[in-house]
Amino acid sequence: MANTFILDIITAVGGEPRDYASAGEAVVVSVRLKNTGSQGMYICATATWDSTQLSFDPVYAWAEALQTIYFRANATMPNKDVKVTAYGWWWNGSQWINDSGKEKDLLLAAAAPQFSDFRVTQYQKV
Amino acid sequence: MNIQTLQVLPAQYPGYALYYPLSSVIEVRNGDKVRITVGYSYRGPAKTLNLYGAIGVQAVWFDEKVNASRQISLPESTSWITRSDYVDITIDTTKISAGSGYDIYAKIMEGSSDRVISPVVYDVITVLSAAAEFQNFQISTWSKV
Repeated sequence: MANTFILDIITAVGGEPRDYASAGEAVVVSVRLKNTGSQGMYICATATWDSTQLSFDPVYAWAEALQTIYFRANATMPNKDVKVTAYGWWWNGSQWINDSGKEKDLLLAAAAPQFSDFRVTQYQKV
Repeated sequence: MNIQTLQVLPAQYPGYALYYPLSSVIEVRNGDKVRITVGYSYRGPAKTLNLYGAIGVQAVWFDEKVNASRQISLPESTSWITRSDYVDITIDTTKISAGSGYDIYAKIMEGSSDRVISPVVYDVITVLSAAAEFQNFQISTWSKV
């Protein structure tokens, strides 16, 4: 049975949870990692921001049984969509064991308004 | 040959004319209002823009006789959302003379810049004269009274 479970990957811009960001915006990535084991243990999260490794704070933390820890990292939105891939780990006393993972897509917000199929659909005297 | 896909291109280029099946003619008089409704898809940041409509005659360019605009608020959306908005244009016969065959078009503006322009819909507005008009005038009876 797994000892960690990623409840959620939260991406926030300006303190607001968002599933999209504009190019250049600062994004805070939070991984909610739960100790699903029956006893306390050290747990940690790692994640990639596309192919870049994120640095989390805290690096690792002690979690009591069923306790959830937030691991946070900072990133900058590039000029494209991003896939965040997070992993949950626990310390067995001699090495870190990965037993959970989750993915999330962060979409690039369109900077300019875009229209399509703009046409007159009706006209009437009112 | 099998058609695998059918691409419908956005009709948003000035001068690109398209005849609609909705081209029924409406008759209006001075002071009447014509409501032009547009349909479109949008994605992008939240924006407050102007929906602009005009009645006139498409020649080399669109000779606008009467027009109006109305502010619309578009929500922020990263995916395409389908929208419908309208603008009412008041018929002012000091600017548009009585006659038939007037055309219409609409566009969305940001400040003085056009963001998107609809195809022109042709020959759909007839402006009736404010002057007295007679039709079918004839002697129908005559008798001693």
